[in-house]
Amino acid sequence: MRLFRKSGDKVELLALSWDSDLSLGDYLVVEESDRKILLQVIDVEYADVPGLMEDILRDLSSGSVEVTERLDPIEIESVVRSIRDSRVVVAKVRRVNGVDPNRLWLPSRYASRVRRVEVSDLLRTVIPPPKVPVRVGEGVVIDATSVEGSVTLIVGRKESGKSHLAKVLSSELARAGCNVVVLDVNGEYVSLGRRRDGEPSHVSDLMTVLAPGVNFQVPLASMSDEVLADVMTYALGLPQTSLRELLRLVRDLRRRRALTFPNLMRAVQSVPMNESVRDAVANRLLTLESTGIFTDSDQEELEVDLTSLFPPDRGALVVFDMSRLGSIQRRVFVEFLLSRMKELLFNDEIDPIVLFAEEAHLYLRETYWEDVITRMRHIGISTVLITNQPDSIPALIYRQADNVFMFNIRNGSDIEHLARNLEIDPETLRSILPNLPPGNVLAWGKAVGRLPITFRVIDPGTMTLGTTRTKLGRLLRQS
Amino acid sequence: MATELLRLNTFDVSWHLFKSIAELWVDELKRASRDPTGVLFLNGQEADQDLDDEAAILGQVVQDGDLEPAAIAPGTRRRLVAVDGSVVQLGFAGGRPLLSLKAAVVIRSGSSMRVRVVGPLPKLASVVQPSSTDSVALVELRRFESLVQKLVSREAPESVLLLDMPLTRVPELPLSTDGTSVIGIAKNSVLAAHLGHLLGKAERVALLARRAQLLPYPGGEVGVTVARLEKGGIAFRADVFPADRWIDALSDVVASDALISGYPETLTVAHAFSRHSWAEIAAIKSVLERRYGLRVHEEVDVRAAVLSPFDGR
Ligand SMILES: Nc1ncnc2c1ncn2[C@@H]1O[C@H](COP(=O)(O)OP(=O)(O)O)[C@@H](O)[C@H]1O
Ligand SMILES: [Mg+2]
Repeated sequence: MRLFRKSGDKVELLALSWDSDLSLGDYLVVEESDRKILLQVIDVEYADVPGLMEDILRDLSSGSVEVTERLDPIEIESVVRSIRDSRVVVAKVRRVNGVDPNRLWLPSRYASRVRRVEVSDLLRTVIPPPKVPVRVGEGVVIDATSVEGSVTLIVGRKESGKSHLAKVLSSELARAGCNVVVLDVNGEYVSLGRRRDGEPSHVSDLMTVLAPGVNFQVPLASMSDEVLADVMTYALGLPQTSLRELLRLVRDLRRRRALTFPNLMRAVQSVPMNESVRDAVANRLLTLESTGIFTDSDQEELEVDLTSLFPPDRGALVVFDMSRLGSIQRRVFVEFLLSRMKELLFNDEIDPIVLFAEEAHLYLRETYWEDVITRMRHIGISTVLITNQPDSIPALIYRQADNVFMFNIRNGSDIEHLARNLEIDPETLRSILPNLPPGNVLAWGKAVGRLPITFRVIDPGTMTLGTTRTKLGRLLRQS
Repeated sequence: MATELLRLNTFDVSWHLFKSIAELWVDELKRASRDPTGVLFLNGQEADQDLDDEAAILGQVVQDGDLEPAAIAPGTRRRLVAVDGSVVQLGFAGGRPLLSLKAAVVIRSGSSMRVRVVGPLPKLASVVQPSSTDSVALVELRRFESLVQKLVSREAPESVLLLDMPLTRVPELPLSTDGTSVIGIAKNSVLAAHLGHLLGKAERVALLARRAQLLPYPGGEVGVTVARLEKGGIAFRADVFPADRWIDALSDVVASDALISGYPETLTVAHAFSRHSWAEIAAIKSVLERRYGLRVHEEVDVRAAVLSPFDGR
């Protein structure tokens, strides 16, 4: 491979087809004595090799022309073919080393050497040795500390491998000692506890799967005023005046140790208040009760103490299976969970949490987003957002994101959305994202030394439940 | 079937011959490159093929006087065998020009053409000093083409052998056996330019400008003609051997070949396949460097020139 043209941060190299197979996103180093340029391949084109006359002539000539023999004693035909098939490799300059920034320097086309660098070797030079190593790809080891305490985004179209990476990350972080909470909208993370052969997986000991309303319920009386207020306000949209009335009744009943749904409802009906307030409060209470997530007794066997889920001496992987919840139940539950976790974190009752949220726009209120990057991470909730709709995540979040993992995206406007909001040049995104095979990711951010890096996410061999269930699929498996 | 086999065998023999010739050439090259100066690659340059001794012929023609155009009617369908070659100067090794030689043989029967390609083969020039008219590369090319011509004429009885040069300049005329005719065509000919007007308005026509004694025995004459084989086509110089049968030979070409602007297509195809492509020049350099381990010095701007087709995009 030879350097051959450069304009701006774009470099073109000439490669013969016998040069090592290159893929989009691969890294190259151009070296000349002690100076180096780091390049990333963003496109590979056929070179416009002159002299294809024979082929053209074959078509133009009146009769049929056939090359029947070649006397090629020094066997150059294969070399010719390889030259005809040569490629122009388009690459972007990512780093320049050993060069005085005040001086213009271009490596010599003839004296410089071009070689490929493996992602693993590259990472070793751009990030410090990981304090808590987490393997996410072949030769790709990132530091768990660059994900905990950060905002991480995982985007890509359906079936591109987002959840797969989220599963790898969540279980590896839990194994490394983090408190991991997963909001599982499709009920697919349950599979992390088992390997494909049915044996317990390496995180099964750390894992708790809770289905709100089924094996996870919360005594109404155990909720603080603040948590109840958050749920009422943000999930159920109760106006402030009505909320004040409700909280007055709640405090009164709590003092008398009689805080139950029936008592609260009776109070709402009997205490004098504005009729529209009474209606608003009564409606919200009915909805809250009907979710099945909150109970009256505090002796209920289904009660799970959140603090006990996160022991201080090891990691934990807590999966909330929300696949059977309706949309209101989902919003109510998530609002409760966040509010409760904030409370526990604020009171130092649990260690910080890494929250994995799939398709968060389905159940998180608008104001949550700012909360994520302003208050939440300081309180101790770092967020990993996973979505197939990149434009459902506000620009603000992208700009503050510490890590972004991008899987295959073909939709042009989605790519433009990312390009506008990330510190990666649009050309790189446009060329790499639509061509990523399933399971391959373009990673960027703190975890990978702020270089856009492509790799295939490892397959830890746990069971896969993410796939769509069909009757035909079941019948086919049985036959 | 039997003749097919025979032909295959002769080609086999040619192949072995060329293989050993090529090995010889490469060995010589390897020896030369041990010279501390190594091999210097230049931008591959095709040798000029236009030089000719036509002025002399032209003088003789004018003296000879009366020139009668003869009609060329389509004659007998015969097998056509066209041979053409090209040479590229790759650079220098051991103080001698380093060349690459390539030839194509096109055999036409009916509407189908079979192409045999020989080379490209690297060769150190065995002559160093150019002659008065021809460059070293051109002398080497003539020798190489002559070798190929001789090999194919042996396996092409009863055919018309078409060459892309005046026969008066062929170092050794491929001897016709079994009624083979040889026609040497020169497109850029002063002779044709001067005498073309004499051909008049007729559709297919040719005139015999003079006879040249090529072989030192009776019948060893070449007919130097100017011909136009197609209405509106170009007039070119065609040297025909044997001279006595010049009208028949040209008539048989008209009957057997398609014409492209009046020029035999088979020869056009041979010409095209015999050229060195850019990729071949690059490949031969790479093979010399990588496979034969030649120490190559390359002028920086020369490599840039080789890459220039890309630069120009
Ligand atoms: N790196 C990988 N190795 C093996 N299988 C993978 C990999 N990435 C994804 N898959 C499989 O591909 C399918 C789709 O992946 P998934 O992560 O569920 O897609 P998404 O969440 O983007 O819709 C799943 O069956 C998953 O197991
Ligand atoms: Mg998914």
